[in-house]
Amino acid sequence: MRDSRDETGRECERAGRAIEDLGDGRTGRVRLLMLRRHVRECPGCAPRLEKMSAVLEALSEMQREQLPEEFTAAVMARLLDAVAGRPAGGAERGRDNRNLFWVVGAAGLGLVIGLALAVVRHLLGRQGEDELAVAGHA
Amino acid sequence: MPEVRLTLDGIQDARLVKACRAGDERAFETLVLKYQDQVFNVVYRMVGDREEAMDLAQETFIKAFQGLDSFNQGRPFRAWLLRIGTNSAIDLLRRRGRARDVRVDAEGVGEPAAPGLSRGEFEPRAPASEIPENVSLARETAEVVTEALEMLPDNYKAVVVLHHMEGLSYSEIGKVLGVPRNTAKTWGRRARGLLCDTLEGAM
Repeated sequence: MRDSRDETGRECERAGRAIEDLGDGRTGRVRLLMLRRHVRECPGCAPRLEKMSAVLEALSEMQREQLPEEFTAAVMARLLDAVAGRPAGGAERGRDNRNLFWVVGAAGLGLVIGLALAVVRHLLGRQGEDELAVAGHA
Repeated sequence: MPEVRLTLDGIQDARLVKACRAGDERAFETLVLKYQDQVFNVVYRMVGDREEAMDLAQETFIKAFQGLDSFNQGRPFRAWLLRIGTNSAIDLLRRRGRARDVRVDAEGVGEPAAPGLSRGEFEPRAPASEIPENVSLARETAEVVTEALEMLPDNYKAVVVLHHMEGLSYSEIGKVLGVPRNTAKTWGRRARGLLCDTLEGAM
């Protein structure tokens, strides 16, 4: 008789662990079958399983809230405001680096064009002097 | 903290974070689009108010952007982002004066933080007797569970939301909440225990 009570107690313990594991989403099919068989005959464990199943079902069926479409744009706008008001760092530093690249590039291009114009002007000037000299001799 | 092996998703996020750090705002927009729904739903379930949740979700992304320099790219971005979100939600609840935490000792055994919540104090409203009879039992149960969820201690609530609604593993939840995996698991079990208790008279 005592053995039978001990065995029932152990089964209830196992069932309790299986119910908790069910909540964690890690009760295998075999354990679930054993659990169902146990609760059919155990008035103590049946309500525990019933409540856990109801809680899990309710949680899984809770509706997800939808965000308005403009949410992303609102975040990015707030982000730009926040960035404008903070010291350089992170993304802003990256943007500063890009700006510096364009400034240096534009300055370099301007210098090359300037030099090219000066060379052309110099050559044209010499050509003009030569023509004047030729005309003077004539 | 040791580095963790990132999932494919985590690797993609790390690339986007790197691009953000280099000044690519579009990369950050991609991250916003990817996680805005999850962040919003987590903070919404935490604070229970749509408008406040929208504001908190926006703040979460701003804080994340501003903290990108300190983010360790070897860690999962999602957990880091959700950590900012849940901490912001808990801060808001504290400002409202209704935060409830359960302290954890070394073994992860929670004791109600004084003057926190004891099991006796966890008393969501009983199922309303004026609920029409044609409302199904399942719906009534769902309403009781939703209400009970709001009454849970914040750390318990966070675990339930992250595990059951967002599908995070306890390991990920541990990273989000800054506690060991087993502590997160213990909180989850206790939270479900409290939720089951509320159904005592409802079923």
